[in-house]
Amino acid sequence: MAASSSPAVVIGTAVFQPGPHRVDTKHVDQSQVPSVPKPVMVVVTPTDAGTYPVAVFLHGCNLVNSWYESLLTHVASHGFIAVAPQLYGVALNLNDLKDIDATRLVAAWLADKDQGLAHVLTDVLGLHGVKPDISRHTGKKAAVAAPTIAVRRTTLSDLETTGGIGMTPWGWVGSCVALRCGVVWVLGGGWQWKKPAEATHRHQSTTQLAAVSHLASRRRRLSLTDPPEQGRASQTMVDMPPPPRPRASPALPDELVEAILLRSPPDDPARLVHAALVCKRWCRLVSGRSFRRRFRARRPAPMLGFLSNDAVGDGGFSARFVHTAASCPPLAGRVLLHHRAAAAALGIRLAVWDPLASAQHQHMVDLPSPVLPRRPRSWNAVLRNLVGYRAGEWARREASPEPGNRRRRARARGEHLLDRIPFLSSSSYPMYLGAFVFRVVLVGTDAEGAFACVYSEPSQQQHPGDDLATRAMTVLHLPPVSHNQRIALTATEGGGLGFARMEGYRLGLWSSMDDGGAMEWTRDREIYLRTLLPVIDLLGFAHGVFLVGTVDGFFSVDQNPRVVSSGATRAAAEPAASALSPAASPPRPRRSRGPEVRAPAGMAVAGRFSPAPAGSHTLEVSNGWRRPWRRRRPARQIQPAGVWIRPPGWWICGLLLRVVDLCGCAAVAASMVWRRGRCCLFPAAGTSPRRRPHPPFLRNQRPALRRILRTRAIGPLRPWAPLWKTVVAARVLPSFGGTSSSLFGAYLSVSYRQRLPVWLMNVVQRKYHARRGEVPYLRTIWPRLVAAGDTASMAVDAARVLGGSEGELWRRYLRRLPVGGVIWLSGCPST
Amino acid sequence: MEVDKGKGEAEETRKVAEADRDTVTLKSSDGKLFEVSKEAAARLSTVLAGMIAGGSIDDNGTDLKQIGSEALENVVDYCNKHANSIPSAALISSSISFNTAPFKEPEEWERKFVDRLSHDALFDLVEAANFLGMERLLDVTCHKISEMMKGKSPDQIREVFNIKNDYTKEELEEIRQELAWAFYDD
Repeated sequence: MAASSSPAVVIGTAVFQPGPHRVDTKHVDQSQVPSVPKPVMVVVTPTDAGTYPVAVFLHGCNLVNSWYESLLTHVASHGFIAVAPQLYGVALNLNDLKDIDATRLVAAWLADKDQGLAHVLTDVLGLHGVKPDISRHTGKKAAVAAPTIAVRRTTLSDLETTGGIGMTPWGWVGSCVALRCGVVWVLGGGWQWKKPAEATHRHQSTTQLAAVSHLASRRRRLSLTDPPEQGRASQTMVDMPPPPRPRASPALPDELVEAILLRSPPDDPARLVHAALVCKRWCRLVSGRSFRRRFRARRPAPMLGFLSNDAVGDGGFSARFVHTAASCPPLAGRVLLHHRAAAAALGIRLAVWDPLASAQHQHMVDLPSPVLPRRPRSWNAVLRNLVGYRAGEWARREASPEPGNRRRRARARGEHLLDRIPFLSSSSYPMYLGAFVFRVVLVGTDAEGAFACVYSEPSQQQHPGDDLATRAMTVLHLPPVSHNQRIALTATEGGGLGFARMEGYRLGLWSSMDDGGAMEWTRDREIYLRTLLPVIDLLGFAHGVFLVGTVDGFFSVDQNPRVVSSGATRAAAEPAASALSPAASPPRPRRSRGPEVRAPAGMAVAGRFSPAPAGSHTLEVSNGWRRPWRRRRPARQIQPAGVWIRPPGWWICGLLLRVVDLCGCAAVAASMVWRRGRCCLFPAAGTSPRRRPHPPFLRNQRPALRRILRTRAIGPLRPWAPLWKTVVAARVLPSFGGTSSSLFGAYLSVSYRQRLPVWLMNVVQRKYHARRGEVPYLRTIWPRLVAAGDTASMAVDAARVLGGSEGELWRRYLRRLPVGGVIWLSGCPST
Repeated sequence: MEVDKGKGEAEETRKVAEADRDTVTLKSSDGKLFEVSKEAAARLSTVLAGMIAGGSIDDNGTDLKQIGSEALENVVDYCNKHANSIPSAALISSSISFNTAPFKEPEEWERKFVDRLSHDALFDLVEAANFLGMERLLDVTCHKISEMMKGKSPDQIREVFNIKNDYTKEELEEIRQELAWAFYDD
């Protein structure tokens, strides 16, 4: 700005040392405002002839510019013309808004072409070469001079490389200590205010700031940005901004708040909680249905942690829970453990473990060993949580003073209260601690056939020892099947246990009769498949749909559809829970309705369809909640309800079968295929019962759900994974609690010598996937080496637990925050 | 261009020529004019695309009364930068399946773009992006604001958003006890 002949500007590198220039301090005392203390402006210039950049220095609140003379001298000695105007009067000008206004006036004055800084420098002080267009506005950023500039020594070092540096309370003044300082970096060339990440130091208020910053008892946001600073000598335009427009409180509309909160990462659930506690409006917003739906739809389920088996000593193992998320809501989950040492002997010993239990609660419940006649060839056990809000209610009722009567009455009716609780889909309802009821189902084969065992745990925490009778593994013997013949456990319409197996081209359906302890099996009917499909394998059964394999792919075969009246729906809803619970005296299967397999109890048994060479005949049992349904399809004999088409060249590595509560109306199963290190998940939309009417978008698209769904690769697998060797388990796990989002996860474990690298995948079933025929995508692959066969089988439903008692409205809102997550389970149940 | 068909035709032609211009002039609430390439505006903003398609673009500056000049300048900046950056496939797909697709992380230049904004400018820009239906910009700015909430207590968030606390002290205390896991760090 000021200029003369010599072009070079010398800026030394030792910024804390006095610079090479000798300086001259000039005071400008002319002022039209009488109250302003003198000097009105301090200008420190190098005495050497040269071209120097101008640094405008704006002092802090309630201070005088001449107090900074030594600093200005220092700055000027490095080759700057330091200009420090007095911004406003000292006298008790404690109103921050007035400060801003005064600063704005000074800034405007500085920019004034005739009376401003250019005038002072050229006319008053006799410096030459000041460009007359100093006041030109270029429409760039508004730069409002801050009332407080405290140039620190640390920031001086930046002077070498940038045009100017100010330290300014950027941000806003909220309360008396809320002034925060940041270093604002102004590039000389572009006149754009930068706040480089690496150069940004946030300081707590300097003492100087704190002294004057109790200004704001008013919660008014100040638009504080940087002071104007000068760039290089060649760019000496001072770009004075227009005055800041007074900004009203930024009451963002709901949709914007929602859009912002939707971006919070799901693995930091605490952030959502904090947002909910900001104000009640936000709380309502965050816990609202639409927010939860969108949050879950767009954010994959976070991994909150995983369970890992650590080797301890010689052959011993200990399981532990490893947190991986930033914060973790309390989870009510249980893990089914398998005692490995006991497995060497004949028996199967299982235990249910609560990895997150507090110290005073029981951590582990040993399950009674099932008495098996023969050594099992292969077996698999699954822990089901009977969770849900109703379970919580039930537990509270049970804990009330007169539980005994209620229970006795219930028993007199020939049913247990537990059985009235349907297998709520754990992904649909919140779960409460202390109301944990579980059931263990064990299915296996031995030399002569298959067997199934069921263990029900009736709330043993509240009534220890009360129901010892049920604390036994009930062994159900299935009729003899060849140990490598594919069978699928089914649920009969009455809630009883049944199974299906391929007999040539016929699909034989069997059901059990529980006659006072002796289990009888009858063959109810058969489905002749030859004319329909060239079935070579029976894969599983879920929700009234059989999954069969052909050379071309998987098909699901619906049972002969019959219109079920709504009255029958209610009737069928009653015994829903008693499927697979003979320990608790299930009602007799109703034979009147024929052998139709359409049980309301959600029970799925999936036969493995895996190329595992040994022990591949494992069965997986998973229960989902099946809503009583209303069916309006005309009766047809057999209809393929869904088809999976395996892309050519891909190999099937596992079958995932789980009925997912997709909008309460669709059953989703999936298969995984792989090729050359890539894994692919195929969903298949089957039929599922529903109580509610279809969502509008599904109402007309129902047939589309049964069509072939598109497939898509979900992610690469580690290339060193010897996938072609053995894929021992692939399973869909329920992942989320608390929302009705249909999320599920899958894990794929691969046997590799004695160790098991376990791939844990987090597969998100988006709520509206089915409509668009899209595929859940893979989020996490978590390779983890665990010892083979150590942990038996696991299903932990990560659920959120947010308080128990009923409260005011906002507390109920809080409980709906989507802060769930996934716990991954490592290990493999296969023998 | 056939000019010799009378004045009406000429007018028509001029209009067509205007419509063929590849920039759009936007006018902020305080009357400043900004030019942005038509292609970028139509691609990035659903509202502008609608206006361009509907022919309601004014040659002398399309009035955007809700947007201040600062915010509009940022918007134009963004459009220009975006036009220069290679359009990534991810971006395009995200605009297609906007409702259900998982959020795409902001790209590096977008991150830099929002990082340099002051607090007020950021909030203005969010509102402008929302108004103009610029989904990607909304994504980026919302992401930035969400990042600003990281690790902040409810008090601090309230300050950022200038929100009045309408919980009572007892309520907050109760919630803190209930949700103790979310407050482990302070």
